[in-house]
Amino acid sequence: MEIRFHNPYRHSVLGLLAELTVFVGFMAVMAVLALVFSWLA
Amino acid sequence: MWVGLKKRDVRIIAHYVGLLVVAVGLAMTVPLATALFSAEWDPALDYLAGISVAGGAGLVLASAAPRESVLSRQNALIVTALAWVAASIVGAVPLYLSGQYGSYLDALFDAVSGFTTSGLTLVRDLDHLAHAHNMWRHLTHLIGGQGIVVAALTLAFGMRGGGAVSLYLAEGRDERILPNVVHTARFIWFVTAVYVALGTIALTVHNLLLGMEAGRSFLHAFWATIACYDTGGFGPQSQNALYYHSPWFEAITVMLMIGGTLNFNLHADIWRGDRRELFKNIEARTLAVHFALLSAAVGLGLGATQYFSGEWAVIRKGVYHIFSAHSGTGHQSLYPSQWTRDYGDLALVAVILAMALGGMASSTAGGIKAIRTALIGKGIVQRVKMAIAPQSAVVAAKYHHLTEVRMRPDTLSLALLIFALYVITYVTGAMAGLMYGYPAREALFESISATANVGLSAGITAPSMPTGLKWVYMIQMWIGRLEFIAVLGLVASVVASVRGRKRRGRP
Repeated sequence: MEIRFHNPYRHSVLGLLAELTVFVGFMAVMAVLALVFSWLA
Repeated sequence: MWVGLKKRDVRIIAHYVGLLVVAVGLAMTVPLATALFSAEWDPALDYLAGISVAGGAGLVLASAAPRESVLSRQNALIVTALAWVAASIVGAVPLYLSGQYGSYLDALFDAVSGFTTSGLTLVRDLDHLAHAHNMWRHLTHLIGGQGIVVAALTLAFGMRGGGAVSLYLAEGRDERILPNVVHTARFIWFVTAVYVALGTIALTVHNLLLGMEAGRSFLHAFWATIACYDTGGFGPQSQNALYYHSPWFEAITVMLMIGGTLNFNLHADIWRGDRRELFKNIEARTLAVHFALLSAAVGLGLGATQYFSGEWAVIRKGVYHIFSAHSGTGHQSLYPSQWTRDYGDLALVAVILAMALGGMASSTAGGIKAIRTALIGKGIVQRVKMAIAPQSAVVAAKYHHLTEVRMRPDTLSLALLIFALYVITYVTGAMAGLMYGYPAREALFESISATANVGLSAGITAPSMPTGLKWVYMIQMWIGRLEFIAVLGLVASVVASVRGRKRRGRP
């Protein structure tokens, strides 16, 4: 019989990782956007 | 009808404000421990004095409680408004005793700035301030960012029930994450603890790699993490973020700023498994649009300047400050005079708008808040639709904010009201700056920075600034943090009480 342990912090850890990943991506997109517009100036 | 305060109300209010002052005294044990650990004996005495003042005054006030001290909504508003004042008054005591402030008023300015997570400072020699005082300055950001009243009364004193809910709502947190306020407060502290731990570790490693010695690396990392996650803006060095000259420092702190400006309800949804909420939420979408428009504007503006048109300068002096301003943090990597001298008008306006708009509601950020601009935008669209629809048509506006919500007229009118109050305060503060003879751009910049609890400075905020302007900025920081209603409630209650007393005194 397989015994599975429920980890109550699993969602929290995945949630935190998702947030951090989105933050990095968002920072990069904003940096590229600003660069593109600075080249237009 | 305006309802004045009775003697019983005053005693209840004094009781809760007293509890809070005791809690502030308890918090001062952290800088006291820092002083003892760092062998800073004079600062240790400053904190012993601070704890004595807070403990003594707090216990006297707390003992005023009548037997049944149930907190009404009106009293909760007043407790909240006064709690921030009382915390600042006692919090300023050890800072003043440090000898690093020109007067008690300057120390009070820093305490108000700290608790409201603004970050403007009047300290004279920041680079030589004791560890204990830096610890206390940054700790005020942590306490204020989490919400003084809720933090103290739910965690330190285990307060529950309707009174706790009223205090929670009065403190500028308009939504409840969990049904129980104590659980909500603990969830907020849990998210904060995780971010503070991660930020401190990352920045400690960064500082060690920069060549700082271990203890200093850790302290600088801890303080920068608190200042950025709680969107405060204090720093242990007068050059603020510029001191580190590091793109890695800026990247890590921007991550913390974004984490701090996220609505705690959004954190809760994502941390409970609903990760798509981040992309569906109207407030997150609106904030992303603000960031995109302002990043584009700052890029366009800086691209035309003499000093900041290079690729790295656009990112590190432009985008970095959009994040710092929009989140309400106020960490800056420019000298104050550069804002109006070298930054260019378009980029400066982008930063000013970022400060004014602010982050998300129910976060540690200040300013108008993204949910309000989103609702006002939705309201405008709804009005246009109604104008062109047939007379019999019913035009309803819906949006997704944690759940599907149908926009109610009172929600829109409250958003418009708070928006208008922010704009009025921004302009009033700027007028005060102009009256003291400062140029328009600096006056507007500093006024918005104070009201939106940002902390970026164009150079007006200094120990030598006029005393009257110090008071103006302190009031702006206070009412901006509490989003007006609690302070207006306090003023209305006092006026109603005085009028009622005069009426009763007439023959």
